[in-house]
Amino acid sequence: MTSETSEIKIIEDCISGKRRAQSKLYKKYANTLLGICLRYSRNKSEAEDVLQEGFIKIFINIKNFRKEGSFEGWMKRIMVNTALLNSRDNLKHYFHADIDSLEENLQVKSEFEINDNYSAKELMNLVQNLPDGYRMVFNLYVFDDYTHKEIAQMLGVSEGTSKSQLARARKFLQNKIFELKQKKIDIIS
Amino acid sequence: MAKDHQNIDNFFKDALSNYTEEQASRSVWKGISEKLFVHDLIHLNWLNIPYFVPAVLAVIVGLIAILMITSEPETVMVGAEEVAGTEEVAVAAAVAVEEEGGKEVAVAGTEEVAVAAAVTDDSRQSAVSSPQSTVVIPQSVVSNQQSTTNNQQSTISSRDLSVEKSNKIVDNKNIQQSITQERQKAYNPIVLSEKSKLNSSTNVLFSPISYITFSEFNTSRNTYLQKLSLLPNADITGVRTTKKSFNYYTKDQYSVGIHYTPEKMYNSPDDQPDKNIYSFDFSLIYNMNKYIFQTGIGYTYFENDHNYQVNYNDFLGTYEDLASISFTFDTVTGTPNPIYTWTSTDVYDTTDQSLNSKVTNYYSSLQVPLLLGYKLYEKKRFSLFLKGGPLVSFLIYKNEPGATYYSPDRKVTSIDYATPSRTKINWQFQGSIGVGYQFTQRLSLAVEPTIKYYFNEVYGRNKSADTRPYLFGIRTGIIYTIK
Repeated sequence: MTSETSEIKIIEDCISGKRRAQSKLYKKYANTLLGICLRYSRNKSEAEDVLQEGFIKIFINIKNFRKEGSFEGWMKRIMVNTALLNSRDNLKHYFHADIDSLEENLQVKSEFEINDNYSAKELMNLVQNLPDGYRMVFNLYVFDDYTHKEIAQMLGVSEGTSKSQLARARKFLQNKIFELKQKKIDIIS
Repeated sequence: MAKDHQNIDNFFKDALSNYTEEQASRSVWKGISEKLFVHDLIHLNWLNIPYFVPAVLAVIVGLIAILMITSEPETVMVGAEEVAGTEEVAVAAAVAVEEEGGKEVAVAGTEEVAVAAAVTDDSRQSAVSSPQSTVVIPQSVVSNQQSTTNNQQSTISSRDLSVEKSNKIVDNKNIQQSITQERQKAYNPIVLSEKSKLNSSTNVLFSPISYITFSEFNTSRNTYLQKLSLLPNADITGVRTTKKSFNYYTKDQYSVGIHYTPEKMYNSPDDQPDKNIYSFDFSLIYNMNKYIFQTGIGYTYFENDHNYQVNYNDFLGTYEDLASISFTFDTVTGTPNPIYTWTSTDVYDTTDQSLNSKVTNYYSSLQVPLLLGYKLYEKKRFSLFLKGGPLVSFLIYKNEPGATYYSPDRKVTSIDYATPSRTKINWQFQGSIGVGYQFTQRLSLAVEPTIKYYFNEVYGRNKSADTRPYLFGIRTGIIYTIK
């Protein structure tokens, strides 16, 4: 039985509501989808809440999955939407509250240079530490390939806001990477 | 600047796109399964569960049985002025003794009355009669020895009373008059109901000095019959009512039944998923002592999902092919005009691809069983029985819609259509072990876990493997005894 056939069988069993198949599907994709949830969340606890809610939606709506596209892609979309819905109530605050306090972080301290000395976990922490609004736009644009028009519709903001949030997110991350670099140098020295 | 942006985006994308360094804690799956369980419960379509109906019936029967067993009256001894029995009032009767010295005992009431009695307060007369019959108490019931050795009470078992038609003993008209008079005088009429008559036996308890027994030669039977006579001061000390057990299958009974059987098929051909099957049947049952003969007719409905595979080549494009050129000559300018004829040719990929899908087929069949059964156990209202025998199934309806697909830009090269036709006639063995519960003398419920085994394949397609499915089901129904 190929992996594709196996996955089809798991999906069909999940449609039938078989708990064992649901468990298999969860084990197979939990870590991958948790990575997405972590990017959209402030911490692991919040990410796990999103993961749980997302998987419940997946299992309930799996009968609606058309086997035309990628199943993993379909699940990722559900996770992203769940993450957005999870923070929807706070979204309007994201785009107003943090601008002034973050102005100082938006002055670019250094030119960005690619450096392999950063672990994935360190970079994930940087993304998680982005202000909520920046984080949403950055994730949607960079990782999930949405356009500014789509992001604006999803978040209920203007395209201009989406663009400016993305620019600020980049600057923020650039500075944070610089700070991280400085910290490492200090430790070494 | 733009380069920086691109660099940052790609830097993070490369590092975090497939980020799997952290694992979800166990509580996540626990929470998911708990919430799914609640969701499943809320959204469960109970009526679609094939075993739900029999399960509910079984629970109802169980509850009724518990209620009836716990509420069943034990042997009740009451005083002369109290009556043990059921609450319903149907027949009243009085006991009287004939003026001549009380040689006869007659039971008053309808022809079906087993026994009924009452004490007349001051009467010196009592009569027990039937409008058409005279009750004669056989020797086994009351004897002199019994009456003398038992100083406290003697018992007349009404269950053992036999009814003998005889005009010699009591004149019916006189008895009727006597009954009417005695009913009016009745101090404490003992009341029996139709229900108590069927479900119980009643013992009338006399004081030891209230009666004597004697024998009389019956010319029609050519034998002596032991008879009971009440003395003029006959006194009834009480009445005892006990439940009478039912016979689920009594001798020479004819019954009809309606049953519902949800079943699940196993060991079906490998490309046929296990499916639920639903049957309704009307059965004719003949009971002879412990043996059961059953036949009838049943209607069965079932569905099967069948997978199929459409093989195709992807459409790549179209090119125009010059089929011919013809010329017309312009007489004015003196030049030839070419006319091109093009044909359009579609180009498909040579790589074979396939599309898997499935279709649902619907079937109905009539089934005729011929079963032989044996009653293993019987107590009170419950009985346990075995049944088994052949069953023939006739396919009467099928709807096999065939493969459906939409691929306008593809060239379908072949369809591996895995939908076999079902055989029109199929022989099976049906066996069951069942439990019967008697609601009333005529109405009962039967629950039979059933297995069916196919003698021949259900699908007409030749398969290398000889697949003979078997079914498990729970046959539940109501049986009505005609005779």
